[in-house]
Amino acid sequence: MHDGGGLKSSVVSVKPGLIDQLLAAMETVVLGKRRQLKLALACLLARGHLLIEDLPGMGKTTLAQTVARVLGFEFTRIQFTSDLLPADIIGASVFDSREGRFSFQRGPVFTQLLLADEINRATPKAQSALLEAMEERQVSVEGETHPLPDPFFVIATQNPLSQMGTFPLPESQLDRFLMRLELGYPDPRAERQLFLGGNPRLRLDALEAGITLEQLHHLQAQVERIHLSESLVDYVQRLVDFSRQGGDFDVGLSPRGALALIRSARAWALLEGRDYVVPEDVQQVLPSVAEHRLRGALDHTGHRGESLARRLLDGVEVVE
Amino acid sequence: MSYGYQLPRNSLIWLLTAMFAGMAPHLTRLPIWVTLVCLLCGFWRIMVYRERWRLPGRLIRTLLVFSGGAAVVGHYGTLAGPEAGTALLVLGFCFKLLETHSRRDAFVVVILGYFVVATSFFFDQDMASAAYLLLVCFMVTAALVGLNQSPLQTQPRRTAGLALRLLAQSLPLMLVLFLFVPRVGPIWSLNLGENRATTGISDRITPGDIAELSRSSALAFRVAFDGGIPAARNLYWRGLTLNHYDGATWSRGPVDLDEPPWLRRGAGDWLGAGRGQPLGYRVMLEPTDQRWLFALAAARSTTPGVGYSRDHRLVKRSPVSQPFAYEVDSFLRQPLDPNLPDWLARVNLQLPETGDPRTRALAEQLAAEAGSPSALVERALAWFRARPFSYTLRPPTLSGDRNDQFLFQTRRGFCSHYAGAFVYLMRSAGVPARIVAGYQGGERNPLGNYLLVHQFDAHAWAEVWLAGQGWVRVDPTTVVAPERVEQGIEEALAGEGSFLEDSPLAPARYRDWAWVSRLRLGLDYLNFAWHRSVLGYNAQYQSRLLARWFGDVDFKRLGLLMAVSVALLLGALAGWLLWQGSQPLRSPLVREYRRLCRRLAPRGQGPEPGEAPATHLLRLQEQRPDQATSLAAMAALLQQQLYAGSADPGAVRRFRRLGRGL
Repeated sequence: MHDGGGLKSSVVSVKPGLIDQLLAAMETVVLGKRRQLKLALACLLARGHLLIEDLPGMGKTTLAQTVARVLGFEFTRIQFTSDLLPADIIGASVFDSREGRFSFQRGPVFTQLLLADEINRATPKAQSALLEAMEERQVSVEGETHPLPDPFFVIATQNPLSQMGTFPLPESQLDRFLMRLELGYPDPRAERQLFLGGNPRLRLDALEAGITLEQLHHLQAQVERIHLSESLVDYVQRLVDFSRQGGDFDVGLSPRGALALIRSARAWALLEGRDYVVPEDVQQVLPSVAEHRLRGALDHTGHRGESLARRLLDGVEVVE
Repeated sequence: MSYGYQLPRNSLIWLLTAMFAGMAPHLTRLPIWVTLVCLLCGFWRIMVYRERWRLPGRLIRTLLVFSGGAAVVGHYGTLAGPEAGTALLVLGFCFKLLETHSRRDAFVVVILGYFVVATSFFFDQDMASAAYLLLVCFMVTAALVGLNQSPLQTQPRRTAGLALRLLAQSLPLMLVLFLFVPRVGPIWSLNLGENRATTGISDRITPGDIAELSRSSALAFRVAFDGGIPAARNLYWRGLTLNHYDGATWSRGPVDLDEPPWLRRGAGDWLGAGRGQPLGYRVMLEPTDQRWLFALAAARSTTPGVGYSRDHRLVKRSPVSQPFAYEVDSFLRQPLDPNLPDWLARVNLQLPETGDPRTRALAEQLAAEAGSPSALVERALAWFRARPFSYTLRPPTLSGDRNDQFLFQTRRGFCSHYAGAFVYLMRSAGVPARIVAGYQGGERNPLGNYLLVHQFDAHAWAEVWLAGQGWVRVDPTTVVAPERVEQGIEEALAGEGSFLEDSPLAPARYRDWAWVSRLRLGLDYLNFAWHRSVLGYNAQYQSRLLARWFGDVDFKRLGLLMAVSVALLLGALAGWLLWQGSQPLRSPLVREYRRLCRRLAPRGQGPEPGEAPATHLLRLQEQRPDQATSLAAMAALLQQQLYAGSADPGAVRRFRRLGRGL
């Protein structure tokens, strides 16, 4: 595993330790998943939506709730089912008999953080209603446009495709998620702590917001200002080229994918306390950013591209 | 309304610039109307580009071509010859500019541009003009590049950059061709410079007219000696002998001593075998448009095209219209004509029937006192020494019995006065004598150790034939003004201040100012090297040089050599370009890191696939705890330089120093 953690050379002018505090608070609920928590945080700082994919019971929802809590977001959860309709997500016009006219009843999407649980259980119609809202950051109903709150994040979870009764998200929609995370089984020590630690639900409830909205906005603005050197752009371009031109991949990284990579790397650099991006940042975020966008040449089973990200990182020289 | 094919803007700009720059050296030679026509054509072309005017129609074009040709014939009397030809070519260039209906036409214009550049070399070949013409060549090339660029590419500077690179790449090829192309003599001979005003010594001397020898600071020739430079008093560069006196003017006379059969090399035994150690040198003569060459006495030359005249001078087969270099061996001690044929003695005893009675009387008196010709020479010189003669460039004018007036009244004059009067005295006394015109002395250039002979070094002296000794050089001027020969004319005129008084800007005038002098000599050294190595690179020189490198070289071998070296060169150029294209642009620091990786790889300490440099170096800390701080510093340096946007020029050196311990 490449680790760029030891390279804090220039500290950004946020309140020092703020990020570490946030991460520590989150770790009291989601045990032993510091890396995933950090990636989730980076994803939100880069204003991207997050997809968490794993088996049921691995703590996907807990992680989403933890993020919502710690950041102090207004939080809504939608459980996606196969009979979910678009109106159940975005809202609908309802006839108000007292006023004698139709008025728009806002759906659960009007929130700061939306947890779309088991997104691949819903029909494509319902999925696309949400994904459109994610992209546009607004909802149009019967010719009227309703802007979504700012910030607006979606954390979607989904079960692996082998599960029964799922509608896999097409590539075009997967592309809307900045990152896709897998949690995986906790390591034994963390799991032991989990067993001994009492009700996680209570710990979650005890969590308090560790950051104000202004501070969040400030951090997001800073992500945009992280320095991106020519050498690093060269590296990213080589990565992108390799994914497109090497015979290893059926579908290479799109320009949107490349932009996502850069944005995530910037956010990661900020979390590392640097004001410039180094290749290690790119390497840290690349599996989460690129896996769901790539498809191997012989991989017809879906988008599980974990080994692909590895292949990409190993196949491209960092400096040339 | 259609304006037809438009030259790309870039190409047009460079083409017009090149056109006028290429014409500039011709301006003084070309008649003014050619320049005006060219200006008109250039303006017309610009108006066409701006879509104000149209290209001329067939009628106007025909009219232009025929009237242009007719005007050239009217001006020069011919269409042939370098000058008329140049005028015609320049006109054609301009007219073709007005006839560019397609890209093909535009290419023709560009190629004509190269020809116009080439014609300048007919007239001028010195280093400065060669450099200038190279610049014009570059402009024409830029026009060619512009022609092949998209019309959307409108930055002349980028075009110029491309042209510069193109020229730079062709430079090695130029060198190879220069070295190996066989130097054959010209197949045709161009009659150049008929209209050029000649400077230098003249083949007529009229003592008593104004100081007519051109006292210019122009260069006459340069001499590179094989050994050291002899003393100034031995440097009498013989150019001409004047054998005939008509009472006022000394001239070469009715008997042409330059013509065959004497000119043929080695013809007759009058030339004599060289005696003693020869003095070897190489003369690089500036164009004189005359056939005579300059050399020290008893000269032998192996340069093709050089022969001997009957009076032991070197003569070229055709006039020297371009800088000409020739090798000379001079046998300083060899007597000239130990036996004088009667006809030649008669030529050198000729005098007008009458005139100058006092001079003749003096001659008879001196001869009677002396008894022998050699004693007579001494007596005559003593006579000059005893009278108040003075050396001046501003002598009073003479008329009538010029020698009488000069010897007994004015007694002021320069070299030709003294030489003329002395030869007259000798001939009157029955001793064969002649005036020799040429140059005396020269200026030594400490850079390159060669001799510069200027026009102001022109001199005239006498040669007297003495039985047993042959022709003996006598310089009566030395009796009057010894410093003229010992230290040069500037010293001889120090009191008078007439040295180069007509050319106030001549750098030679300011010899007292050390830096002017140094600059002048330095510049001349450049020119000297140019003449010797570039212009002087003739067939002889070439075969000698190539023989030193490759052994005996004949034409077949020369062709093979040339083909092979051109192929090698082009191959190398192509390979280099290919390699250049495939090389990523690496920052020096990355190159340094890569070098380090190559060093570490055999020990298994190289980077893993896809490993970032800083991660790699920090990983190495575990394996090399002794170098942990250096490694950390190197990693930080890489991050700072490559990714944090700092640009520290010393970073590469620091990186190398830190990595030394690894």
